[in-house]
Amino acid sequence: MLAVQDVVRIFPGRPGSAPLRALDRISLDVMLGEFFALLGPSGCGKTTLLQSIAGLETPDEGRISLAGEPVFDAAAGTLVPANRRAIGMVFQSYAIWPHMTVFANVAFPLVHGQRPRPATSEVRKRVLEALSVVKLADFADRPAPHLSGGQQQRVALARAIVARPRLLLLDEPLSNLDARLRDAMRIELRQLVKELGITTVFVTHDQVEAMGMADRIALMRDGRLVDLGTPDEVYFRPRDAFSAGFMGQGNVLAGTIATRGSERVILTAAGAFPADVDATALPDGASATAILRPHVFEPVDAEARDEVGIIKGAVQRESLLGTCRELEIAAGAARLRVNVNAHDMRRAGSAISLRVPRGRCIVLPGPPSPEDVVS
Amino acid sequence: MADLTHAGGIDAPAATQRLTRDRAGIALLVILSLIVLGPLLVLIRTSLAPAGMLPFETARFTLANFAELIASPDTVILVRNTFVYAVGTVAFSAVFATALAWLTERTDMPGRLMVRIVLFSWLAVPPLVIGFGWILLINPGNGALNVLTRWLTGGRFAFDLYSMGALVIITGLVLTPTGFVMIAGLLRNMDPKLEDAARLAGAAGATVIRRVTLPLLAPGLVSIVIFIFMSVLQTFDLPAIIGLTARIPVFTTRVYLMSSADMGIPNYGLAAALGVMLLVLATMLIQLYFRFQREGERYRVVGGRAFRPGRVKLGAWRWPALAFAVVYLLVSVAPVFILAWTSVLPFYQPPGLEAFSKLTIANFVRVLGEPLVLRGLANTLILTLTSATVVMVFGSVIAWYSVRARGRLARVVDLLAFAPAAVPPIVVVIALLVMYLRTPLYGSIWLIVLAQVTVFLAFGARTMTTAVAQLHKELGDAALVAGAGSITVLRRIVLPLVRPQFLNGWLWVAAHSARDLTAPLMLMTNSSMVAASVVWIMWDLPDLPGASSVSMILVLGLLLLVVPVQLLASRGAE
Repeated sequence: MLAVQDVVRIFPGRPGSAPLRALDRISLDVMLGEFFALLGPSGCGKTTLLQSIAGLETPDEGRISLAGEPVFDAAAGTLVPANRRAIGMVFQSYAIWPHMTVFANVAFPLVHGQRPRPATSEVRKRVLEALSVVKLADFADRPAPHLSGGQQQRVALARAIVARPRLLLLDEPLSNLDARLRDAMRIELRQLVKELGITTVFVTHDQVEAMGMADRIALMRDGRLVDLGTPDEVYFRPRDAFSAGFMGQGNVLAGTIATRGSERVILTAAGAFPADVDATALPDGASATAILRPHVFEPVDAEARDEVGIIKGAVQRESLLGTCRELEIAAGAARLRVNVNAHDMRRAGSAISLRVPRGRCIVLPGPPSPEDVVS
Repeated sequence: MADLTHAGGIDAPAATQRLTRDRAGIALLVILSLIVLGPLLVLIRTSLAPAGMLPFETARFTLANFAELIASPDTVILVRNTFVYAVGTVAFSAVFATALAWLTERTDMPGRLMVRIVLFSWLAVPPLVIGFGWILLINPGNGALNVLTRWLTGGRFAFDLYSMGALVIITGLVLTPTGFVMIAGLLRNMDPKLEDAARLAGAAGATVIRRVTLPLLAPGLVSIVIFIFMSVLQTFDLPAIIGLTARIPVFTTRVYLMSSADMGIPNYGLAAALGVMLLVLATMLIQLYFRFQREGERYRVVGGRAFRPGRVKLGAWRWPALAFAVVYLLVSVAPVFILAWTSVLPFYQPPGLEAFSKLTIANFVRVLGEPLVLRGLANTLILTLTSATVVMVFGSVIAWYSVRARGRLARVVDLLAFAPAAVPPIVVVIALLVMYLRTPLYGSIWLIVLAQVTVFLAFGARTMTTAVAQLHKELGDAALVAGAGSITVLRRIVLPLVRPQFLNGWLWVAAHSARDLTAPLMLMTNSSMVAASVVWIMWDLPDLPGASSVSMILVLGLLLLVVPVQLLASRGAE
């Protein structure tokens, strides 16, 4: 549906500073009907990419095509302007025009964007349809400034979908809402877009939003695509330490690959963990990094045999986070952050035995960089 | 997992090449070059032409005009006069404007709203009219105030109208409202919390003003002073009305004399050379102005307007402060009152009881029957409506383009649109005069319209650039993505959202092009008369009651345009 190939965008630097590579050879494909997230820290280029797709930004190199039709091709000199791309977009600020009513805002893409312009009755029907989809049908005649943040977002969404676009772009759609509303909208937004069946690309810096909403996630950093896959893939099998760290907390341990019996393991300061890795990529003795997310640990009886995946340590500190209990555990020379069930009371100083089941330890080739290691 | 494309180094420098040919930008560039660069090039060419030649008649280049100017002893006098005139006027207006702005913005003086409205509205009154009013008030023969002072002092004292002192004070009175508007804005934008912080830190009132308030305001005040200095250099009407009789020539009046037929054959080359010198001076000043203004912007700590400026409690000083403001206002409106008086008398005589029996509206009836006056008023209407509309629409297009588009072209367009700010109106006018002297455009009102558009374009573009820059970029982007074309976005989204600034700017340009005398006088022909030039001609006849009547029609028309808006705006401001 959407194909981005080798797209480069370079912002000329201010006098005295180097040009900024905002997009550095980005390639990705979005399938028909897919809900696709562009995730990354601020300044990673995700918004520049979204704007390039919308036509609000012109890349320097590469190709972008929509439903097989090229909308941008640097080599061929093709550039379809933003207003001819038949895209719907919800902006970060929502960009609701304050001098118009809700109805006029939503009707704008039909009245000014469609050739030939639909009949007034048709416009009215479709605007009211779009407003009822976002549950704002009663607000049609209201002046736009008299809306709450959540209502503005719904109007922006209605405006984006009223002309039945081929592609829907969402730029940080939830960042301007308060936390409670954001949780509700996250589910509602995904459901709504899925029901309408519109292919959607959305930009966010929040990995929880990305995982909770998207079918697939593209993780970006410094203008490059660093990871791409389903939420499960990116979360459980990240491509590198940055990806692992950005998707969620983790204990990062330096280790060495070895074989114990029939099993391949990674030896770390905290113990040995099952390592599901390819022998050709990481032979025995290879230096590697183990990443253990706080919730991969399962408490076991103190008498558990000392085997691969078993950690014995002492609780250093504990605190209740509500959804779980966070423990800091000294195991060997390592300190681990471990989340256990909130009801599982552990006193500081007590001994604890934990197990890391097979497949839960993320193993990456090479030693961790110093800034990744949690002390 | 899906496959990833990783980037190595990219070796193509072609990355910077852009795909779009920016048609809108190129169109703007061409139009701006024609109206901004065209006259400047003609001016420079004229200044380098041999004596008595127009630029199109010769291929020779010579520095003779500049040599003649530099060799002339008159030039030294000219420079000295201009300098004394400018410094004196700036000192006068800066002191009064600062005092009045501080009283209205930062104290609890009673009647401050009225002071504000009068000063804002007074901007619209033509300096020409004020100048004639002062002639009626303090001319050496029968000036009304002089009649009074001679009677009071037994003939020992009278004001001297035809002196540098009077010229300075009268110009100062005319420019004080400009300074007031700018300084009031400066005070309004200063966060009182900065002063509060100093006070909480234990500083005394005087220390706060000396160590916090003044240093914070300094860059802004300096840039305003430079702006007023530039305005004085460019002022033409008052030095023409008062200075010529007083034999105090300054740059602008000398350019006028050289290029008008009053003093024999016009010497356009010499006038242009003087114009070039004035241009160089003005360009240096505007550089300085922008430098200090940027400095001032850096000090502007607060973004929003979520604060109310703290007001100093004047206590017993409230009434002397009010008295000062009222006296100041009375002095500055006095010339219009004497013109009003003259306009209802069959012939001029100083105010007095016995004259009351002669009051009549015959003058108004007479002037409104004269074709010259009617043509002047009609032309003024055409001039104000078209130049204000053209300036603001064109300014909006430039603003929208230069804020939205990135890249070198946008910067050039921006620069070209602001360049006329550095060009004194008299310089624009002399250049247009030379350019169009031999064309049918000369002698028509449209040449004056073109002059005003060129002169005020920088103001229009700046006003609208500020307004458009405050609009969130996404408001326009949203319309673009919704499928609207650029013109629809401008018409349906941008313009409606900047309507207040557009209207304010429109009014300002309308008022200023109606009050200006420079272009109408230098480009004057029988068919291109406007109200200002009609007043000038009738005054010269002399037909004082007639000139006063037309002045009053012009002033009333302008006040009617401006005062309602000021009333509305002031209500909002409080």
